[in-house]
Amino acid sequence: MLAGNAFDSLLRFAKYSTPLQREDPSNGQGDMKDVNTPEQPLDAAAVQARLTREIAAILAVKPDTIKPDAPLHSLGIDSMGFVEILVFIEKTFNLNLMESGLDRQHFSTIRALAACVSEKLPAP
Amino acid sequence: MKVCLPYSRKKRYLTGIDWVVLTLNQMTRRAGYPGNSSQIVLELAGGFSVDRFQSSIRDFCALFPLLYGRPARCWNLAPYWRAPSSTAREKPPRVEVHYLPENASRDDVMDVLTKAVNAPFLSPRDHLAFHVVFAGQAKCFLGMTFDHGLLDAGGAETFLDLFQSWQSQTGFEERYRQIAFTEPAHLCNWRRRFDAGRGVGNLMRALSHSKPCSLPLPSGSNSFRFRLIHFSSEESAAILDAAEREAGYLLLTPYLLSRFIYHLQAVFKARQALAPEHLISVSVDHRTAEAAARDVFFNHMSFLFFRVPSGIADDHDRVIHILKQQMYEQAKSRFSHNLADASMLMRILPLSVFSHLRQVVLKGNFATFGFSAIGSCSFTSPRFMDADVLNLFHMPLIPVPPGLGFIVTRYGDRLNAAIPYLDGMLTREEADGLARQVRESLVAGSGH
Repeated sequence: MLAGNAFDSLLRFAKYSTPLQREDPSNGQGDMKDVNTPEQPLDAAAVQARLTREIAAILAVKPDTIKPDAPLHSLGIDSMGFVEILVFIEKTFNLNLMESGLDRQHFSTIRALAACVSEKLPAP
Repeated sequence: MKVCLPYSRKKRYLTGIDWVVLTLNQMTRRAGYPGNSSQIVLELAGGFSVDRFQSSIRDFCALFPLLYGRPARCWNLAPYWRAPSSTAREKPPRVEVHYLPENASRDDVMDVLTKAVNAPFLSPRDHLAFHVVFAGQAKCFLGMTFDHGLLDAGGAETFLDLFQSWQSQTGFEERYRQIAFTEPAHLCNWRRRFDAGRGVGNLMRALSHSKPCSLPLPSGSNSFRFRLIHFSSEESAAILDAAEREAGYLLLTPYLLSRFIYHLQAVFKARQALAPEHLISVSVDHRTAEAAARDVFFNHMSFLFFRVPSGIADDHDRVIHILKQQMYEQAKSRFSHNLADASMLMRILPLSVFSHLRQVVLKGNFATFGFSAIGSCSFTSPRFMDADVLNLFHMPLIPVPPGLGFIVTRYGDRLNAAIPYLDGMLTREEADGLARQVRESLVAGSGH
């Protein structure tokens, strides 16, 4: 309780003080905002490109170094990284895949994941 | 035009997570235990020259002045790690050698390693110690005890790998150039950090109302004991398959936790000390393999908190489901990132005040146990000091409270697990039973 109150008071104080540096416009969310609710129907290739960008951001590597057919575990993705990818898919494509079977066939590579996502996207 | 930013290798600003880790160290020491430290153990085939190791490790450590540093506070109030400008006058890390008789058992080796990790560091500027245990001609063990203020588990693996690379003259200089020795003071983005703090505060408020199961802290003890569980390659593959079948691809964490909670619940039931829920503090490492090569020193992880009602702890499927849900919710709210961000604000507090505040906020409701699953191992060399590496595992001390943990690590295609607990917290029978049941249930797969 004390920490909550302390944070609330500090927050009020912060709103009246000038930040020392410009705020990160994406608030640490990377490029999530510009892709939320896609306006145009996406095919598997477009989904794959977005997933590759996000996974590259999670792994802090350049997107062109990621092979679409490499298993995610071989890229160094762990439980938490995988859940972050699922969260990205929900925020970007409005699909909650956590409740699905999460079997290797559909989730093990970026290409398979992109195909799975584009299959579940509503038809245009 | 070449632009040079002023920085000093004598001063490395500490992040909020570093400050949390130092606070946990303070709390653990205040409870009478050695501190927030750990030990990484290499199991080697044959032996190696101790003299050569001692001189090599002395020369290698001399390359890193921050190994002899200590926390201090800057004029801008940000805490930092003050390292000496030169290591010429510093005492090298302690290397102790233990010779066991030819017929020594694995338990004898573990006794030595347990004593080693329980030995407190001799001075505030002492953060590393090495123990070499010779168990006959066939095997030897190298234990590196390290202070979590300076290295996290992944960093310790990378440090030993760097040593091997330096010692065998294979690409060390390139790797050394990549290491990040400095860190900004992070005195910016205040509003973002306060917003992050609000989210963290909400969860902490919720946790303060929880009624977690907890084992009482033993009196008259000041050390930890361990139960180590090693899995063969085949057993590890079976565990990963079962995790994928029951929890989903890559979701090893909820699977392992469901098994451990099930068997720990039996201990609480037998003691008639079951509370409404299990509260688990989970440390997560957001570092990638590339980042691990750069961020060798200090702490680069964060925390999640899971709550599992005792009433469903016997039902693996429901426990896995609830853990996956909580992982997802906390990933969605960016809790672990927010915690890392918000904890930057707490650096203003002295360690003693921060540790007291933590107790007040959580109203004494600390986790039932701490959990960590370290992903791929950063020690990749197949050899160490010309000896083949057979296995690598960790023996961490868990901050007190709770003083009980379940840690799973991976070396190559093998999984290793450790159950560290305060001496006296579990009886010998309880600890043996817990380790045996966890092992059997993981190896058996979907069976209980």
